[in-house]
Amino acid sequence: MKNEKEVWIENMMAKASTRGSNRETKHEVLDKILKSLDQPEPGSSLITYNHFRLIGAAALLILALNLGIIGSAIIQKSDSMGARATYGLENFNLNLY
Amino acid sequence: MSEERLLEKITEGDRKSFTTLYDQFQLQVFRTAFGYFHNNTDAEEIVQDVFLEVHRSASKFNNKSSLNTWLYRITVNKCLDKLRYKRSAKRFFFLSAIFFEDDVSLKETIPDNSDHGIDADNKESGLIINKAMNKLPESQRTAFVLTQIEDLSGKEASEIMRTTEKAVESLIQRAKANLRKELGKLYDNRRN
Repeated sequence: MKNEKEVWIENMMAKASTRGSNRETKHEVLDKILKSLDQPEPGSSLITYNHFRLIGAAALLILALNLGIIGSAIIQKSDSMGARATYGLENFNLNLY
Repeated sequence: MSEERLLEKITEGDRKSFTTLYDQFQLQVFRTAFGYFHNNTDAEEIVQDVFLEVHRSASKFNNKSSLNTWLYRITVNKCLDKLRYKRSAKRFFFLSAIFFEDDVSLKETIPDNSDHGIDADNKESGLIINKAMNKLPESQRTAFVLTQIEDLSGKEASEIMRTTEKAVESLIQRAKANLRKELGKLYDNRRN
């Protein structure tokens, strides 16, 4: 004996497997296609899947560049600190006045 | 008129041949797309995209596969492209919703999911099925649509998907199992 949940799932499975609609597409669909064929191909105004990928790649590139700049700044700073320490200049006061 | 000749005439710009092809295959394309999206708006957009692609690519058709198989392939590819776009758009809108309160210009690019002329119960079922099917991997979804909705044989589906019959069988079994699992989760969510 199937419980309510199993019956519901079976019902949905049957609906998922049925041909949802046997109706003809609207006449407007063919009209739209024929109109599009008459027009020169315009650039799509929609944001396509490839645009998303492009935006993602650009964002990653910007992030990588930023990290690179920050990284090199940290290295440079630590190098100069190292050099000052080597020559015993870390406490050297250049203020002569 | 042979399939090849029909496509030749379409390449030459013969509108009558194009309309003949449209009348012959529009229902098949619509049904397949409906199997992916479970709503008329998206299915009709796919019909439009598929026949525009057919017009553009008619000269590229070779007789290695039948016209039917070729059209199914274009339909499946267009449906998968649209699914990917919708998923990306969902993620994009989620992010934009965090930063911008109401970006109308972006929302307009997403098609309206509402269906006119379809009763409330069917509409709700359609949304539930769509939700569950969205969780299926593309290959499982395609195998399910082609064999369970379009009633194609494993052989025909394998030709369209460019894989073996055995692989298609396996995909269908996994699709059914996953679909049951997802529907079970949705049932529980509705109850809680």
